[in-house]
Amino acid sequence: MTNTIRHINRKLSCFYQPILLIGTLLTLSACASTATQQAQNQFTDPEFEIHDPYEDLNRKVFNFNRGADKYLIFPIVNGYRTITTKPVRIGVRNFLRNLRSPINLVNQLLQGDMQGAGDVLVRTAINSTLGIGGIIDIAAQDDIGIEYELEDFGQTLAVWGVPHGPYFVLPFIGPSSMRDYAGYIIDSTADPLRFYLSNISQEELFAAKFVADYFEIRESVKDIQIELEQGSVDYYAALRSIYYQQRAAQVKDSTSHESAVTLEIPDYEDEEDF
Amino acid sequence: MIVKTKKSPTFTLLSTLILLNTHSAQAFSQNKFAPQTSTLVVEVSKTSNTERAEKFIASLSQEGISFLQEKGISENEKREKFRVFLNQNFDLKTIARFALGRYWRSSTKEQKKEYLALFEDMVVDVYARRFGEYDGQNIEILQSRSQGKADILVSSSIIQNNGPKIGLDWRVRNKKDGSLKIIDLIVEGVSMSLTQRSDFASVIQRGGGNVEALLKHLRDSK
Repeated sequence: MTNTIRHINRKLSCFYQPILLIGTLLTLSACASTATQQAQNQFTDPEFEIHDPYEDLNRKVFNFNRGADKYLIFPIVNGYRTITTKPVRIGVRNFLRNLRSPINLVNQLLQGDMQGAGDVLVRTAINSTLGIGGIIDIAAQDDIGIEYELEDFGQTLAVWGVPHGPYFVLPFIGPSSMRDYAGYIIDSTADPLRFYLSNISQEELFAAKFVADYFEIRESVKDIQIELEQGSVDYYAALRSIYYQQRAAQVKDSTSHESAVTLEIPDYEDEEDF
Repeated sequence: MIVKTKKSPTFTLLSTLILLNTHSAQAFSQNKFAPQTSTLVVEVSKTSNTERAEKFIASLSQEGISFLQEKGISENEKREKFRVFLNQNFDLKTIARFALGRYWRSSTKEQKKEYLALFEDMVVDVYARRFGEYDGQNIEILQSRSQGKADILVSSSIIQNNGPKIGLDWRVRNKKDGSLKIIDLIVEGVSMSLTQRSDFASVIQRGGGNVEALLKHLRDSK
């Protein structure tokens, strides 16, 4: 079993690493030219940032994902909810988040965020020991007060000035952009944990973590997702807007610890037709 | 962590100018950098608008929506109570106007009128559900700062029993008549007003740029 997975993994590596490299280079070069232009627009109105040239295809994938959610993902999520209690699920979430520490740390460093990097180290040290292998998020509790912050290579690229590029809805994964998807692949392949597990011949543990991560995230956003779907007229467009806003907020956190975009809401009372 | 926010009139003026010039977000911390309320020291030279806005949000989040959790009243009654509450505390017309964006101008008088009515109905539905899930006791006001010409952004956290804090910012507008009205809610960096506008714009664009496409959707979903 182990050997088969190793074999597949090695084969896969040969296959996707060149693609990954080419993809990244393409993203970087394609985006570099428009970087300044978009950076100027970025915080006047995040609306300008949305670039969705493949909307028709994206909507098809989006509908596919809704079907997949309904018939495959949500039943699994519901099953998970049936066999666990909320404290258990939070323990699982904390444990998985703690395993993500190497990625978070590397990205904080790449973004030049030393305070953020220090926070990751302190959190990991406390939670891995006192928090019993990361199950209890002691570091986030009030007396220490360092809350978890998700860092990924997409955010790092953003800090480096790379704009989103085209918006993509990916099968099973959902909203993304060229930049963020490139970041996602790099995070998954360059995860130090993956190299470690590979060295001790435990690749299947990494695959298990990958699957667990996926369902943990889907479980945590399921209710919000359903609520958004009910509360919006064009669910696709609403989710796309939220994706851009959320990423802008995450990136801002990584650069200057400021809140997200300042939106201009004019005083309409002066308008004649108001 | 002790954060001292000292705001002289000059500072406020300066920051307003910077804000207007660059449209960049003012420095203020959220998430892990958010100061604990207990240690937050705010020194304000005059009784300011920000303080007034904080009080407004504090009382609103404590008592304002408690009726949504009440057991003895019917759903219809709740809805109507909520409608009154919304009109008292939210500037629904500005929110609706913003959500329609540039399509407001191309709408006829009748369309505008119908849109405003449909928008209110929709918001009553959506927000009643959203607010209904929160227990007013668990909102902790963190800090506030002025934004734009007449707005104040009040930052708060929703404290959950199980799970992390959720950042919730209230954008409050100082109306010309002296009242305070909420014009946007920002959840973890996501503005509800902006999301609404993107949503509506897409419906209208896909309907050939005609507001009628949106009105039809809003009518149908009633």
